[in-house]
Amino acid sequence: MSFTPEFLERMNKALEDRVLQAALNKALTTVRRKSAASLMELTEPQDVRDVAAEVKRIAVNSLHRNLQELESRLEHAGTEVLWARNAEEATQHVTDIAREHNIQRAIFSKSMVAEEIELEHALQHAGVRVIQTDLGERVVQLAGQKPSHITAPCLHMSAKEIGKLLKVKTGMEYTDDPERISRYLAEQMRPTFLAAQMGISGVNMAVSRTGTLVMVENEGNVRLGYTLPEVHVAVLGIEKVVETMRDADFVLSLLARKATGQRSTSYLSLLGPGPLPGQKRYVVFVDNGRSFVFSKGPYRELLSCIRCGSCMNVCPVYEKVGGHAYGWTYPGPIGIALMHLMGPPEMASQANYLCSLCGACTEACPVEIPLDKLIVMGRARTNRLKPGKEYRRERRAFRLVTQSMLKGGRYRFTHWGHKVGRAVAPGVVRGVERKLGWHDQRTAPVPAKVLFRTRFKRRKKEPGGSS
Amino acid sequence: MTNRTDPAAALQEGRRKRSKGAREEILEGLETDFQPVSKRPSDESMVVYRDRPAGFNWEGIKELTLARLEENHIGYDVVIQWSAFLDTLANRLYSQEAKRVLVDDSAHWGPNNLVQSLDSRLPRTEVVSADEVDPREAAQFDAALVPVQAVIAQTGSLVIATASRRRLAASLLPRTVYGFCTTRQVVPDFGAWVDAEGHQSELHTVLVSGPSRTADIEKQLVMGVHGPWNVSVFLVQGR
Repeated sequence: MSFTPEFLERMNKALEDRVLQAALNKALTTVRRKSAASLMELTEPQDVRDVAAEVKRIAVNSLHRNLQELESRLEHAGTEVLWARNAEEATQHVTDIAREHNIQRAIFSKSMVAEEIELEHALQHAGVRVIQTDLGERVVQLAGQKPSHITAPCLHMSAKEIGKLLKVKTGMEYTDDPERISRYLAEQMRPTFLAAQMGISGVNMAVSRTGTLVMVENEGNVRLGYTLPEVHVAVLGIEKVVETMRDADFVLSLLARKATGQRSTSYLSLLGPGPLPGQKRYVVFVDNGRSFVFSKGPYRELLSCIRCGSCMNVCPVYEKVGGHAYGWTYPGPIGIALMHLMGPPEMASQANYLCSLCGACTEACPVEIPLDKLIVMGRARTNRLKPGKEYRRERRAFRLVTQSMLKGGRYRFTHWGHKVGRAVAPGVVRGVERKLGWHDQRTAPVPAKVLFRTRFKRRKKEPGGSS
Repeated sequence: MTNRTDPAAALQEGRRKRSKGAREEILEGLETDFQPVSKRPSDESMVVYRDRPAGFNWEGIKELTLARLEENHIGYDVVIQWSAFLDTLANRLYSQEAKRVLVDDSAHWGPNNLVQSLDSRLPRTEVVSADEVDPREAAQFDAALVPVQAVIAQTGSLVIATASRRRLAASLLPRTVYGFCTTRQVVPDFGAWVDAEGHQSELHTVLVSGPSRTADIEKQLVMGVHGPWNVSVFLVQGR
């Protein structure tokens, strides 16, 4: 595996950026603590997780029927439904809508699908002034960056950095107080909300049986986006459809807890299938590679993702390098797993290795997506190797280790050899380690002075030792 | 037939044509021999929350409801009569020095002639029905009074459901929002509310679990962003 100089530069830059390291550590530690506490309120978190996973599995496998039912509900109530195979079609639909209604100013509520299809760029190119209304998104928009986390877009920035940015970009008096910055941005954006002609939002879930669009948020910008403008466009990834409101409830009981550690977000909108009075509503069903993922056997499970971001909240690699290092809209473990099917292949072949295969993401995923397994399969896929053949050398090495550990004599011999080798010829041992793939960034474990087996035997012989 | 001189119609036609082609292709790609199960896992009456109250009885549910509202930074008053509700609210608005108050008087519960009742208690305040105000103008009001269809005890959420854009804006744009309902409208959790057919799918429903907030900057919680900065609810007993 070889990495491009750009990729390595991004990694080194992230690892050397002390502000980024501190910001990531602080933010992710807080989310993990809050999330764990909020999950304790559930009777049996694992049972709820099992049900949510099953609900999503059924929903994904029933997409063919559910999408048609949803379409029918929405259209019957007066909402125009548009289907898009890819990003070009989706952005074309929305820019056409903007042209048809002579839209000059549009407001965006945070939407990962909109980020994925680069809708903001397409609209600006079509002459529409676009303002991001989520505070974090607005900050990264002003910084000319992309979000680094799917639920916390400016997670990588410190308050000091944001204060300096706003001073330059908006003339705000410098402050590094998050409350003053947030209030300033909110006040500054209010006239934008009131003047917007078109609101664009994502959809967290859609309920096919009722035609309900479910949107989850804390700031109130999503509500403003679908209430005030005369035109509302909802961009829906086709995998977000569930069948009933009860199904949605199970997923929602985990979504906020996993994403932000909240019991429930400040606002949960259940928009009826029809537009609000005096308003025109469009829902764009975006495929953009999802039906391809659907067709790829075990990868179909990736479509269960509810975009809570919990996999990146627990990922040790994400915590070190941040979201921008992945070079794609979706960072973290879910981003890696999706990238080789939906993202740029040249990025995928490298980002695949931003994973230690520790499995923390799989443990954290509220809908039980086996992310670590899929990442390994993704590595094989991008390396154009068949699964099972990709780690022949590694497998051989592990087989040797297993054999040496099964028999006491062999293990003692290996241990002795390692210990003596390190003492007598450390250079030779380091050379072997390097040859085996260990290098300057990692060190092999130092052999224990006394083997565990020996210590265990000694302890058994001691008075009161367990038999 | 498309009018060739009408650019809007041409855009619509092009859009629909593209959409139709995409629809067929996408659906074809999603065909599967998967058989949906006859009984869905979410149909089971599963107890999700550790401290879920057993029933709908107010006395049994009161402690949890009030604790959750407080945790969500939602102010509350439990009053015994509608007149007490109006008096307390008027006092609150008076001390808040609210000059303009927006009232959603569409509820079938609560006092009759809500706008007039409040207006008579606040002679220096302009009290206006939400139905008379353009959605954007709601931003010019200091406070709003909105009916709450249900309170979800488990999450401390106020359910606001309406078909009107003006009423939605009334619960969103003023910096202070007061809700009102009876204690009989308190339900244990979201599932119970859905099961009790509380969710009318044709309406637009918002579950409000506190003032608008953000923790986007360094994960520090800031209350009061784009939506209301203060939220309170009046729970009127025994009606």
